[in-house]
Amino acid sequence: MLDDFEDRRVTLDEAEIYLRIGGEGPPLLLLHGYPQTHLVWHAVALVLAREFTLVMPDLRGYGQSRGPAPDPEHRNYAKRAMARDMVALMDSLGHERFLLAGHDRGGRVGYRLCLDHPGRVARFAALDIIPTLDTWEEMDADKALGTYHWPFLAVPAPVPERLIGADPDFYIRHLLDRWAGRSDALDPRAVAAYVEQFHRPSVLSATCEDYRAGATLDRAHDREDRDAGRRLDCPVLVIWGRGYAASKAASPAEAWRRWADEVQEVALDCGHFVAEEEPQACAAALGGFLRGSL
Amino acid sequence: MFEGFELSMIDTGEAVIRTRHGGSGPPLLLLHGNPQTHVIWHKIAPRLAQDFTVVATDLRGYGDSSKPPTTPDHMPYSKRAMARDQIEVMRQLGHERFFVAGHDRGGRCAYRMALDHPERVLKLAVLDIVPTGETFRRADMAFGLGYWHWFFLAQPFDLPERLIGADPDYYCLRGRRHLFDPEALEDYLRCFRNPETIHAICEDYRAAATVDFALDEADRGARRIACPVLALWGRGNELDRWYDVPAIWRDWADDVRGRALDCGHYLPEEAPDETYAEFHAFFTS
Repeated sequence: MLDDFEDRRVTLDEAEIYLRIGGEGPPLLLLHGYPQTHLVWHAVALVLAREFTLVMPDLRGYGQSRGPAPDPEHRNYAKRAMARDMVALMDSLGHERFLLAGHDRGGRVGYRLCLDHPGRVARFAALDIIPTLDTWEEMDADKALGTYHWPFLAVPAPVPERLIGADPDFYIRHLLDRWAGRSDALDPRAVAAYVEQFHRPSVLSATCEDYRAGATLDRAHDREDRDAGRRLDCPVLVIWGRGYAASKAASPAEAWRRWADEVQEVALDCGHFVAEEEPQACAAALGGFLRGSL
Repeated sequence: MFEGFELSMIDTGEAVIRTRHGGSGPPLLLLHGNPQTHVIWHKIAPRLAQDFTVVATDLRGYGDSSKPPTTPDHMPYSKRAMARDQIEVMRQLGHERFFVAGHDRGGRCAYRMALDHPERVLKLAVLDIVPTGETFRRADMAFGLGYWHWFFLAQPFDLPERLIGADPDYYCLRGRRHLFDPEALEDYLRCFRNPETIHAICEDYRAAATVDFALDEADRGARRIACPVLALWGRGNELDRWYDVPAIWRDWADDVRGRALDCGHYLPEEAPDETYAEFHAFFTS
């Protein structure tokens, strides 16, 4: 998959980042989510590479990237730290200013990058998320049942690591099936790669740390920004799947308008994995939003 | 443990309930919580038996009680259904009216019994809970993180069953085993290793998130607990931090008393003397 894209490995201060790169045009950083890897972009990349230079890393700790060992405060898997990797990565590629789209956890890294590094991102697309602070503040019984994995993965180590690690294939396939709009929505080769990574203890640990940071530091960072009135300094597009129960309660654009001045929204008839379930529509929405802006 | 008590398997028509009974005096039914058995009462049952006819049971699905088949609406593990078992156990032992004390899930079964069968329950003691509906209505981030197992165990079949069942000894009471007598702990672990028990426990929590919640919402502000209520909870526990426990119970009953004990969640095992003294004072007054 993504055979026409070059693979690289970049050693940064805190992490070693694996990425695929290719295409022509202004730089577009694409960030995947949980429990996935850069392969989520395999279908949209074929379209977007015609007009953008695509940079598709695995986040620290995920896939073939390596991250630091977990720390008690979860700083090492805070979105702030993950965003630093991505800025350093784009620096190393010579891209001072770039376009950014992030799905799921990658979307959280994406908006954190916009907030922490103003001026770097010309346009930001968030795929099927609202900001972490808003998600926690909207938590009620229904949402806690629908997104039980937020509290579950944030339980102190090694509880979720042990429970998932006992049968990672079952857990990850179950989760992908549940979040997808159709059970055959995802490419089996991509699914095999998503599942395979959870056989590695380092990935199990890093991905739980991602959620532990989500329940603690990421939320605190969001609140600091909100209290200080800091907002994303670029236009935002939110693309979301109507079929994913956990995010369909209200228009996600409404939540994003609390964080950015210019917010557009595209809703697709699919589940959580918008880039894999509706690649043509997703690529068209991204292209339309990002084209000519850099 | 439980010297002088009888052990019976009582068929209620819907389930077979492991029942430990002994002592003399007015009848007192004791109900345990998750993931335990009636053995949680081993430290205080002998003392209570001096003044009460003590009946300590395993809830349906738990311990050595049978595990009735599950249904998509989770009704067989609603607290309403669990309460029916316990009323039938008491009836077969000759107790039409009785006192009841319940810890954790057993407390939920006990207050549902007091609501559904006011003519049966003379006094109600609830340990480390507020009504299920009240917790779900107030659910927020702190609750989701603190009581994550409520949402994990309530996930559709068979996600939690598979993850827990892969290594039940790891999951069961991890980090808290030092609180329990070794013989008691062995009863909890032995029963928890049964996959049918794990499934029943998940169904208990699925029922809580659906039918128990709905029944509480239907009763809230309409039907009240007619008998006196004693609420005890652990000082500094989640419950203590999140809620004004007696105030919530006063929304459900006129006669409410209670306090925090200096212990964690497992009151009858962590603070047996205080729990006994509170029970004795409440049920003899």
